[in-house]
Amino acid sequence: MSATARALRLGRRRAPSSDDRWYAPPLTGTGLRWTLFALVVTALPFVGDVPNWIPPIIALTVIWRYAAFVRKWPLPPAVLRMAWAVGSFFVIYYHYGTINGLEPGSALLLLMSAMKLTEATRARDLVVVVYMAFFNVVTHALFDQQILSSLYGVAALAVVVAALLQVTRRTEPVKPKRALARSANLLAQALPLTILLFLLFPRVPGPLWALPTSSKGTTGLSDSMEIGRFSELLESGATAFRARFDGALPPPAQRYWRGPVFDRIIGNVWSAAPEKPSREYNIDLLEPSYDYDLTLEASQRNWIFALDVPATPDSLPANTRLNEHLQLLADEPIKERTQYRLRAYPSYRLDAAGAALDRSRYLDVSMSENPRTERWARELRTRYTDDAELLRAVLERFSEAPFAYTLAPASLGDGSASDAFLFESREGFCEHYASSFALLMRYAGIPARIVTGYQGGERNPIGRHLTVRQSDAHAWTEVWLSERGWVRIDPTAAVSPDRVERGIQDALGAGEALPPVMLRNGPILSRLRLGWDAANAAWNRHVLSYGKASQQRLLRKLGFKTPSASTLILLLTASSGIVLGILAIALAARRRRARDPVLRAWHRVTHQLAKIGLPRARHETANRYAARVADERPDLAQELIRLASQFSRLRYSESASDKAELAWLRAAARFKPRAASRAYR
Amino acid sequence: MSRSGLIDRVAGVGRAWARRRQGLDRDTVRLERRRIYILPTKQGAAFGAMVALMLVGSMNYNNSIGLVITFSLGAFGLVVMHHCHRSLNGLILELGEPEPVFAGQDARFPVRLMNDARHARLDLGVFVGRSLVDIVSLGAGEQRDIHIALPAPRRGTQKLERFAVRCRYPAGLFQTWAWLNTDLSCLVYPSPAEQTSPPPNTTPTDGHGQNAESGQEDFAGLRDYRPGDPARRIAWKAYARTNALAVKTFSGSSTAPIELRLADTKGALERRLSILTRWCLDAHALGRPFALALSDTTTETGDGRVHLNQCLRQLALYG
Repeated sequence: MSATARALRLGRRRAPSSDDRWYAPPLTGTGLRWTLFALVVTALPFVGDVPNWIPPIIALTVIWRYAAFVRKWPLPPAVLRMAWAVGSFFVIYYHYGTINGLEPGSALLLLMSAMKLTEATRARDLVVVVYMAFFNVVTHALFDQQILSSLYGVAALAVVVAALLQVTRRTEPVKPKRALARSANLLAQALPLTILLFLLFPRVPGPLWALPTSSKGTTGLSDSMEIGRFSELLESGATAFRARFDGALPPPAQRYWRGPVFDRIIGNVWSAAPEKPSREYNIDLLEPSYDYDLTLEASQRNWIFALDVPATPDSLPANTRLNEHLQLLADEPIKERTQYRLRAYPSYRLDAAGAALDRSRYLDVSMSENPRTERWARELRTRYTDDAELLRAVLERFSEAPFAYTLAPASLGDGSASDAFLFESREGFCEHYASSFALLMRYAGIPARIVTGYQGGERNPIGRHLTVRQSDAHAWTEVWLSERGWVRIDPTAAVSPDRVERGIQDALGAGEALPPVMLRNGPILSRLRLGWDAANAAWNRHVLSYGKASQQRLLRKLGFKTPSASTLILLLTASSGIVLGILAIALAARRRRARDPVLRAWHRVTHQLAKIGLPRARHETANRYAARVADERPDLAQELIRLASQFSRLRYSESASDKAELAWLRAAARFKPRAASRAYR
Repeated sequence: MSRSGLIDRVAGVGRAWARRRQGLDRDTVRLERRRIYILPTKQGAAFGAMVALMLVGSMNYNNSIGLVITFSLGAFGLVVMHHCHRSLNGLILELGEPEPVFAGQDARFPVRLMNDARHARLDLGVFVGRSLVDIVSLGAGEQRDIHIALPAPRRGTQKLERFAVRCRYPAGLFQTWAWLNTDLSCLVYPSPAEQTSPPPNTTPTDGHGQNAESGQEDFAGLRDYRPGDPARRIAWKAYARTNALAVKTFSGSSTAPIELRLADTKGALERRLSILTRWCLDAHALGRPFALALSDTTTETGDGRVHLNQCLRQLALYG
């Protein structure tokens, strides 16, 4: 052996290229084309997510690299490539102020894959680019995991796998269609295991390291309310959350989703005073109650917009709490879509006795300057001694002209916004009415606070759920009335009852322009939209929110009383073992069956002949056997000799076609020799 | 170098173990499960690291779609492993006897790779040691003949003790391989000397005169063809007439039987064997019967390909 090896090693030094075909195969045109294609396909969805000068760089590099291959241009020197790599870091740092995080990371990845292209001379280099393309698919899922984007991701994955198959070929690569089919085939074979892994792979709750916050602001409510701030939200059609009820939906007038509560006014800005943890409240919850799943979109806030009012603390989901204003809060900011199981009691009595009520806190107007509002409040106070009557009088006033509801109110200036609204412009939307009403109540000596959140929601008949959008953002008030406790008063409902009953779309006057997302007309279009929304809701519920809790539910359904991570691992190991075993058997079976059909059919023929007393001798070839049988049974001669000669041709000739094989198999199957009749004996 | 030396040694232990386990392979071998090995390649290890990184990232962001893609890549890797293994599982190799060669030429061991499965077997690499012999792709039901060429620098025998079939298809994440341990050996004749004086004209002592054709360049007549007669002496015209093969015989000294003796050559032993080889080939080319006399043995006088091969064999294995 050693002499041989030495001789061979000498030989290798002489001609290094022959071994390179295996160990370091050169880059081929097909491999390069596929790699470039995979890179383009996976980089495409990043357009818009990364700085806008990156996509042109990728495109130019791809075009240049292919031209360099075709025209045999030299690749750039190492110095230039180094400069590119180092420069990318600096440019990305300059653009984002960090190279850490999702967006800088993926931008850097794109630049680096383009850089790697410029130094690719071997198939091995292309494999690196292909791996980077795999990363692109995953990182884009971190940006966007909606249905369409995910479908695109799966298609892109198939393209990248096809590229990998083509790049790693050692001999002639196959046609594009075949490569894609092969890739899809392999991925399909991986599907059962993928599903098992997804269902059973133990999830680690919470992030493994601190997530860098996205540089994109997420629309949503804010922790203070100043007149004019809401209009931006009202134009956003983005989904805030979805609620799926177990039974009937609550009536529209009760669809108030409770968010931040503001009890302090400074200038024109409402905000929440620092919380007093010791404060207690007492609440009587009245039936009926509603059970529902709330799926919140990421908001970077820890507010859970529960239907008013959420149940008592003992039945709350894990890692959540109720604050002193009955707002449901998550312990951590909601950075990903999250689902909560909740119960709501729309009828309740809150602090009815008023024993623990801090009246001065909800009457404080010391930081507000609205003299005309104050004067009106005093007038009202002298006219009405009963709080409820006073309140009704104000609402009646709001319901009459010239008070109007509009999404495009006139500017109220910098001064006393409430005065300007109540006595000058008299048109506005929820925050104008809520803010002025609460202030008016306080001036009149009635404890009042602002509640922000969402109101309404679009009912989706297909998915039995409500979709609540940013455009459903709302602000209303709560006033404290003796004997009745805190009562929700929505002054906007007085101005425009439709706003509350049917949603914002019907509340606006005829000539008023709607933000585009709010155009909900047209039966077919709206059906489609609702169907799509239902699909999205199901997608969010079953796929995107699938996590530790869902795994435990699944295990309990499977009959495990106390599911744990080790149960999951055990189950995963066992089931994936079975799946892989089935795959191995299926692959082996395909092999075994393959060598059979012709031979098996021939064996059947000889077996039948053996049954009638004409067995084949071990040494006999098919033709010779047929000839011998033909001598004994002239009635079978013609058929058998044809079968035998065609059998030999099929088995031993290279030019046998599938068609001929099929015809022969049919003929062999028809062959049914009868036992010899006396005539031939 | 020391690292690759260590790897070689570990691989050597592995091969010795496999050889003890498998025994010798002769004639037709169907590769089955227990002799097919599989390990991830460097590229496969990188793929695994990539999937692990994706897993950590997707877990961190609690991203379901990221996890789906990660898991499908992981599962893809495992599926690929099975396909890679299947590339060799059931492959049939037929080992043929190599034709003798002259020293300095390549010993060529014929190997037929046969695929009787319905699936293709792509990118099969045939290796001797770490050195690539050929890459073969077999469609369903196809077969290919290749030759494992080993340089044969010295006369004697050149053995093919072991070769390997390897496969990385699909995707190159895994390498599956099987070792074949053979006892095939190729006879290596001494290389014929380039220039030499003609052999001294000696007639064989044991005298098989009756077999010997006599005469110079003069045509002496036709006799019946015997297997081994050189084709250039077949009387084709006579064949055309009579439809029976006949051989022309000549009279004269250039076709008289000759004895080629080791004792008549000078120089180092290998040089002398080379000269004898040249003489044998020349005698055969002329169609002249000859006997080969080595130090202690002398062959019978004879002519034709079979006789020549016997003589060359003696020269190859001399000493």
